[in-house]
Amino acid sequence: MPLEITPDIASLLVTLIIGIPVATSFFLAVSMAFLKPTEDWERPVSRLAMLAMGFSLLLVAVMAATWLAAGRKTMELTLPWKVFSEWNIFLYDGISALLSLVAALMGLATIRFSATYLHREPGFTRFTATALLFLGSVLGAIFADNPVQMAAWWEFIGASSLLLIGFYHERPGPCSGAVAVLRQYRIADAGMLVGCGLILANEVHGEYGSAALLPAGVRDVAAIGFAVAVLVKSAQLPFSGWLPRAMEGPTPSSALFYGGLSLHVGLLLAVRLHSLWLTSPLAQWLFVVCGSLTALDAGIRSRVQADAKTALAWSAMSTVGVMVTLVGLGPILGLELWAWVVPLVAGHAVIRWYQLIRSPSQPMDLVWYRKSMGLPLGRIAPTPLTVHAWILVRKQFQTPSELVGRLLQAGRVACSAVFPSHVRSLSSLLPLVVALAYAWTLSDSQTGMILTIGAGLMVFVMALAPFHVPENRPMLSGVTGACAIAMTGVLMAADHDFNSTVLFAGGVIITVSAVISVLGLDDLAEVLAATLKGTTGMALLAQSYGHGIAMGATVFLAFTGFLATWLLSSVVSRLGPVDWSRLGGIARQAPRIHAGFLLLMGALIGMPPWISFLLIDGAMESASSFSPWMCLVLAGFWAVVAFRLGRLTMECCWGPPRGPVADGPIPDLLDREWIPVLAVTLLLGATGLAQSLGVGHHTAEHEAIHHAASAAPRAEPLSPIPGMESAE
Amino acid sequence: MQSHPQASSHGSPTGRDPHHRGWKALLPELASFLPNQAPVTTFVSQNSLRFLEDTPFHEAMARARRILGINGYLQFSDYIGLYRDGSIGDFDIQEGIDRSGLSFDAIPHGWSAFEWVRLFLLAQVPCHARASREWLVRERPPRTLRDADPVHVWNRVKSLPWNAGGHALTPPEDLPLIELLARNEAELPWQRVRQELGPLCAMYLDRGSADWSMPLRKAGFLKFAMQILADQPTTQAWLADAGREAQSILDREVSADDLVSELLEWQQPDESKHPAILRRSMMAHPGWAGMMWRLERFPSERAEPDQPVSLVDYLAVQLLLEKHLCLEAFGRQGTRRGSGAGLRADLTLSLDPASPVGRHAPDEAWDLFHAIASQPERGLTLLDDQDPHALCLAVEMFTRDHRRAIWHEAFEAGYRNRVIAALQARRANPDPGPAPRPEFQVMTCLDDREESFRRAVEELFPDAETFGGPGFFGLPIRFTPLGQVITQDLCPLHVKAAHHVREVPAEGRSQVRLQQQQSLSRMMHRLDSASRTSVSGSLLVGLIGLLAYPAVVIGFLMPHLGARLRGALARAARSFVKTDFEMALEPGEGAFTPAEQADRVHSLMVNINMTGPFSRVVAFLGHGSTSVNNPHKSAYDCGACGGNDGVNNARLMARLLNRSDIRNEIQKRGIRIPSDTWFVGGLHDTCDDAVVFEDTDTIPRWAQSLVNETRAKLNKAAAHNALERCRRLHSARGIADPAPALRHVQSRSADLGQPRPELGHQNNAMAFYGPRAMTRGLFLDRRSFLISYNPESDKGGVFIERLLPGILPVIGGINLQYYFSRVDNDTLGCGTKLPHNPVALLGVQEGATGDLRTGLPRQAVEIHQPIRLQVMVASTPETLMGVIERQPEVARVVRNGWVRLICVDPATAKAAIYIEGKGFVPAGPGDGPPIGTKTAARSAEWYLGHMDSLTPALLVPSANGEVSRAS
Repeated sequence: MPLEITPDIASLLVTLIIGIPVATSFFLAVSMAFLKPTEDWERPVSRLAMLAMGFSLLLVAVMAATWLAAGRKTMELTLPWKVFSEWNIFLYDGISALLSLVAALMGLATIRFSATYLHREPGFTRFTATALLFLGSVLGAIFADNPVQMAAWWEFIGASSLLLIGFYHERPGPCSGAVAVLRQYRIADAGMLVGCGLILANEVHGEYGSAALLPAGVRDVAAIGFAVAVLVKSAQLPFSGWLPRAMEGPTPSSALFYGGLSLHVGLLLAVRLHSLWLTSPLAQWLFVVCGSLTALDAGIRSRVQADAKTALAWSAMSTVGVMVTLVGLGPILGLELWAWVVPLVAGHAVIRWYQLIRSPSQPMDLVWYRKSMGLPLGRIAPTPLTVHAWILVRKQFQTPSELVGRLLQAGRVACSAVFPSHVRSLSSLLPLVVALAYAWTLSDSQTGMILTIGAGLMVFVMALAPFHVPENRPMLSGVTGACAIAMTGVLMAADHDFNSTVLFAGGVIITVSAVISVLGLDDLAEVLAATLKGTTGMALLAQSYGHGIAMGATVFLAFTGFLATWLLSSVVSRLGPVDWSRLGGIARQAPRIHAGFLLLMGALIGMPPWISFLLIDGAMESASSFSPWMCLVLAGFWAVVAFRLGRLTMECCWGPPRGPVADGPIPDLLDREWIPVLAVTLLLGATGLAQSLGVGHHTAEHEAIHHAASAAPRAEPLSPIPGMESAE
Repeated sequence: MQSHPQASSHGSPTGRDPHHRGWKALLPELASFLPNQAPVTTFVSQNSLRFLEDTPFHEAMARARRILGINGYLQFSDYIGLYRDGSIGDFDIQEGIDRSGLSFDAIPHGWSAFEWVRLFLLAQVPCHARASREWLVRERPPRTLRDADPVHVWNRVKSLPWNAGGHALTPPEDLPLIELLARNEAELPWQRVRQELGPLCAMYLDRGSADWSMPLRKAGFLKFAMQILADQPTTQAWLADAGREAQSILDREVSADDLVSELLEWQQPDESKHPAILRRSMMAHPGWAGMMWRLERFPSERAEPDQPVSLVDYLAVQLLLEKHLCLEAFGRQGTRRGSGAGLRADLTLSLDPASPVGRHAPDEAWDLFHAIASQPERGLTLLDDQDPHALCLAVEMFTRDHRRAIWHEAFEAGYRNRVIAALQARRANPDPGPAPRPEFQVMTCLDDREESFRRAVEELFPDAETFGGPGFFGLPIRFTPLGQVITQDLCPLHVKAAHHVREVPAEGRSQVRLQQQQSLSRMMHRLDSASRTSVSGSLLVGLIGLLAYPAVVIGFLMPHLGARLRGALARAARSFVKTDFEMALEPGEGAFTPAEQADRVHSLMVNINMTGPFSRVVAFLGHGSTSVNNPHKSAYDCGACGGNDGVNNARLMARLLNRSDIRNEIQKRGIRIPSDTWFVGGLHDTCDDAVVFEDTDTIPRWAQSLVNETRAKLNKAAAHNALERCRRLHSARGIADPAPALRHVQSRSADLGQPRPELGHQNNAMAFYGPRAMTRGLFLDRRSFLISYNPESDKGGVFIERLLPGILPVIGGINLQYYFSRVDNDTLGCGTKLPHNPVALLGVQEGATGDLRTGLPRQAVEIHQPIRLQVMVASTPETLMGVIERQPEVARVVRNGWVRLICVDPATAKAAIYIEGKGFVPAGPGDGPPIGTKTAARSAEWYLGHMDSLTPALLVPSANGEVSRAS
């Protein structure tokens, strides 16, 4: 008897499934901001987390059971009772049902495991909060209805993974591991950004299948972007180096992320976009070649690796390599192989998770096995022929990979040489110059006058700010002031008949100069300034397309500028003049300053998809009207800026204390100083939310057009997975 | 085999003089700093700073801080906390000043040494960055100075005539180039070197972790590593350069010695600096360097004894990688120069001469400021009344190391005095002792964890008698367990395993069952490794993965059910195969002749004074520990059995004593064992607190019910022991009965997510050599090693002269390893367990790129109160002086204060402590304010509801229950 489940109830359930862990995580994070967690927190925190995950698991099970009973119809859901939006944001089908069960079950087991495992660990609450955020985001990605939604959760997954890899941020290993992962993740994010940007720019909205409806040329670029994202996230060659580096967190986080869930998010995207791959032979072959090479390479590595966790990481990668190959091979052979990947993922995730959780037992297990078999402990077996062959084959890649390495190195050297410090100082005035030039083109002397006076005033005020850093003052004040002025100018001019070429050219120049200067820098304050500048460039690019994004950009730049100034000067007031390139270890010593810097970094690079994400998105649309390939370049630029900023922020905050704080902790932000940081963050978040609701594309006309256009291709619907069918 | 000295002395292509290799001759001395830990599968505790043992303790700590950056004491704030909660009193501080051996020449006028010391000891100095001191004084001044204008006070203190600049930093020319680089670069270069070096070491030394081995593993580490470097593709330019040089090294066939010299010369042409540079280079990755050095000296611990291992090979590879990393860094800065000397010149120039240290007020000023703040009324007079130069001198003479030494001595004195007071209280109020023919007798290891177990036995069964002795029961055997080829030396490290014993399947079906067991484990192992390969793995994971779901649900969401299932399986496996012992009885290598057997048995019995009367059942209990997901499992096993459990020694001991020929033999020597006495060997599991007897099939019918009764009694005592252990476990809060306590410790031992299966030797602080009568009924809080010894039957001190050097290395090693792992867990311990990653069956590393970590994990030492072992011996000062003079092993640690030797008069319980240069001087609370030792009727009454360390208490069963904790 088919049971009816109304869309409202279903979407309420899904909202709760995702919302409960995320809200719990948010609650813990805010509590941590104002109260110092002690050991007494452990019990309530772990209870709360288990309750949250348990409830989520229960709802997942209820949802799955009802869905099965109701006839396994694929459901596209809005928010419950269509509050806030008319758009579909959740997708519930066989894939979501199976994977959400897997994720929630492993999430609950991991939280329960960590409750005893992390007992007395100073970061207990931090770990729990981050793990919950991660689990909520994974569930969000599983239920996401379209690539853009997926990208948002994808960013949260990335951000929380990063925090967990660097959980022990006082040690150099986790820091450099997290930075290495950040670098690769930004490549994946850039790919994702390109794909999503093109989808948004071409206004083919809706579920995953519609990506295949893009115009042919654009579709190829988007497919490459998404394929790169899948390959990086699944740690396939040539992006496979990050996974072993990510094994730096506590055992449960390694198990959850790299055995269990994180590694499979890429596969989830690949499965969801299966109709896109049909149209792109390049992507198919990319999957087949990279996947099978990884399966072989990682398979052999896992057998020669002498430490337990890395060996497991390689074997997980090799299995995922097989699955990636299947995804690519399907369209080539004309089979629906992608459907077989989902049950494989469910089995693989839990087995690797279990093996990783048990990895500290490895010596005991091995010794026990060898003892009980009457084998000697130490053993040097002759090297199998496979290994010799593998070494020989790998040797063939020596020259090309060295070439890549040399190119990267030369690029960095060249960039630092091209922009010596005085040029950098001058170039930060670029936004100001562009804004004034723009004011000039308005041929409206009144506006031009106001802009010029305003700019002078702003620079003057910023120069008075208590930085105490002789070398940083002109730089930062100039940049933040200029950015705010430039954007004010744009805002004021928004009503006018504008000359978008000036904006477009200005945006490109500013962005490129920011990227080049950011490459050669090792100074956090300067990279922050350059990132602000880059964001300004992005905002101008976006504005040239006419999105009316200026208001948001102004708010964003003014507040991030304020936040940057505030945080930098608070460090300076405690330590006197600071050499930022030699600062380290803030995270352990001053957690609030650290949190402030992380929030700022997040805001600037759009790691959680804040308002800056919209700037980038707008810039993508603007660029895509020029050429879809331009999007790839732009996304690459943005990945570089974000990576450098992330690396330097983490270097200052994480790692063993160096430089001025080597001989003791620096005093943290006080309660009253902390409030503005949180306030700005909240404001930015709220603006981001408001903006994202305001610039929604799912208008009724679009829906209608879309449905008309997609009627034919939707003849091939998202079929339930074979395993679920036969279960009946 | 490049590393062999003879090979290198001829084949040197550069033809240098041998005497130029200063570093080579000094290598053993340089390497003495490296951790000396055996592979973790047999973890045995030893002093982590053994190479400093020839130096007096406090001097050694100051040196360790200077050279290696090791902290040898608790933090000041910890000591202040102990002072505040009463564990350290003013009287103890006075004793601390005496014991530290410091003299106070420069003290301000009108102050006593005690007042001056106390002013500084109680100062709460915030450990903030020097640069932020101004901000702190301005924004967060000490509360007590609110009225006195803190900024003004600070400015006055700062302007005193300080002799700033007492910081002895290593001169830049003695530093490895890479360290100079680290001071200039934001990125930490060691990390990048280790990322390459670590896996190379692991793959080379692997004792069976990987399935397949890499080529050239028998060709020496240098050749092995060079070949891999030369062959691997990489996108890192410096590694590609290193690979190219590696290829040329292979072509040139240069020896490791020459290569190290070459590379040292590249970075520092002045050869006299090489040893210093080499030492610091080794300290960059002490774990791997130490393991190479260890395996070079102990071939039996290698994967295969004939695999060449050499520290020099390793150093050559490390220095080569460092060279190319340095070169790359310079390429990046645009000043590429080929020579290391050139780089060194550049780097030294760029070091900031006006380091932050120079720019800020000295630490002494900061200390004085807070000392003043701790007692403002008295302290502020210092600034007004004293001559500024004299004041500065007085502060500078009283260094932080001195303060630490005084605090620490005071801390130990506080503990010692309370123990001595308790011994004296016991003396005044003696325990009735066991029945004339005890109900049963049990001998356990002298382990501190058995203290509470023995106390529980005696409390529950007052007629029973317990003994404590070395956990290998005086049987130094090389043991081959059933069906294995791996032997275990079941004896302490410093004892040579003299007798070979094999375990063989007993008659009947045992042989078949053994084979069945083996095929099961082979199948499990095959399944596990198949799931890890790419092709069969992918096919398998879909299947086993689904099977793993129930395991996840049961194992993680219902842990106790999982524990019970696992326990049942383990029990079934244990009784599956019956076994017997086999040993060579004819004289020869590894034989254990009947005469030797009788000797060993007899000497143990007289040493621990087990000379009768014998009860009807006598149990020998070895100890071991069951836990899962724990790479450091063997650290919880018996140190006296070489990091294995002691059950096989106990079994052997019981088997020997049940033999009539042995009984006859020792009767001739004066120990008569009645014919109705049965000996039984077994195991006390210190983790799940189970007592099991082995070889139960050999028990004669008449003894069976007695033995079963005894086992039940011992298990009851073990449950009480579990309750006492639970008092310190956070997750067992609220448990007040033995049964739930036992359940708790059982599920703990089977929980995958439990990094603290048991608390191990945490809090060990003393050892007591003497008759049990002196300590029976004393609550010693699981802090004491108890060695049964009877001074009355030991005329002339023969036994104690055997017992002290025989046991002290084991328990002293345990104590000092816990001590150092606790006080400096980052350097001497292995940090938190949570990111640990087992590597090569050698040890653990942190994550994928950490160094090999040695020492104990933080979870194993976090509640340990670091106290040097207080060895109390019921004897006379003359006897002990004789032992110190004749036994160098004892003299070394006692004279230099690495353990404290205290002589307790068996008749009066008066104590005297050995102080170097003064001999035995009176100790204990005698001349201070009296310490009242509290009494309780039962242990549980004393400890229930308390989670922290407790003072010793007197257990008087008739006491009418008035219990109050010592303040």
